[in-house]
Amino acid sequence: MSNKSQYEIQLDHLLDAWFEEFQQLPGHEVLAAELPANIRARADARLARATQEAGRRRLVAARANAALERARSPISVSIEEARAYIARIIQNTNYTLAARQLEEMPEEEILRLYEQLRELEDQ
Amino acid sequence: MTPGQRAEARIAELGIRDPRDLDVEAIAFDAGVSVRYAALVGCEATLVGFGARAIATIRNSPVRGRERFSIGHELAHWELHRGRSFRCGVDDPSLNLESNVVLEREADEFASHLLMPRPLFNPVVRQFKYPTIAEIQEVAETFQSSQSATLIRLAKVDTLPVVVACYSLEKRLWYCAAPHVPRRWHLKSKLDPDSFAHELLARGTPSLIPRKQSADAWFENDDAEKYELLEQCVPGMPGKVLVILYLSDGEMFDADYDRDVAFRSKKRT
Repeated sequence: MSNKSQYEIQLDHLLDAWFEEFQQLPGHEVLAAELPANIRARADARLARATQEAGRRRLVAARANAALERARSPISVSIEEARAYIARIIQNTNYTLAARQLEEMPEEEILRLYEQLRELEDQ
Repeated sequence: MTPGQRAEARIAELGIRDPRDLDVEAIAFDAGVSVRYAALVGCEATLVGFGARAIATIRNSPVRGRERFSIGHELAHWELHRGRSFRCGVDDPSLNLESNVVLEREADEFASHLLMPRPLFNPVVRQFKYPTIAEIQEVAETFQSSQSATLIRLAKVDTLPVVVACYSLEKRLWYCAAPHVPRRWHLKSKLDPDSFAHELLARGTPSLIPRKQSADAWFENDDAEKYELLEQCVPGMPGKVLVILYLSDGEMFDADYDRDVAFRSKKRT
């Protein structure tokens, strides 16, 4: 006695029918059928197109948002405070700083970097 | 993934298929980097970052290609070196060719692949057999890049048998050869008086199309006189000349290993 569910039985019927049909196909029709690799390639290409479209939309949004960026008004701070602050944050891996060495930087640059860091922290 | 592969993966991910869509500010913004411009003194660019956002400040330049390269360079630091603080003083790719700073080289590689990604750059370059200066300028304009960055990229994509170099009258400043050019060819460390490049620096006569030249005007190797190459040159920064050499003679690729050339060239300098 079989323990198969109704669903499994139906699936068996379907597979049997498909197999019989396949066996009756003439050779040239079998060879003309699509290979699984082709179907997979088509699906991959469709996915890649969708990913690229999403990327294009991201780029359009980024372009619009970049254009909306406005500089903030300057923050009042002494050069000593700004220098000490930057010297502290360069030890902290939550921050990234690619610039000249602190001792090489003119005051104007130290103040600008300080303002930018505070701006980022406020976001 | 190498820095270059990462940059090109980003371009593919953003669905960019045309050089006109290489909007480097938008690409940076998408990655969390806002770009600002300022009259920086003695420094090309800076980057500060906190959490997921960063600000890149770029020195104003009349050469847009230079600004774009700086943005790509700072974006590279953000993508590759986030969470670190380090010295970043030079952004000109040709100057960094002389630098041994690993982070700067990685950033330059990322920037050049971002601005001139291989899938977009190679088809443009393949239109030309041996690109003339005018054609290289056309490529540079298409990708909004500087002439020196475009030349370096031309060598690195390795589709042409090319060596690019920059010289002053006193010495060679930097050079870059296509990877498939045999290393047995040792480029001279000083300009040869017979080269067109010397003529340009000494007398101001440019050579804007590739012209035949004996290879011994350019290479230290004793057997160089047996071969010819194509030389063209263009004025670079004041007192400097940019040179493009095409190794058009296929036999230069079959020449035997030259075991003493490095020793000979050291003795001559």
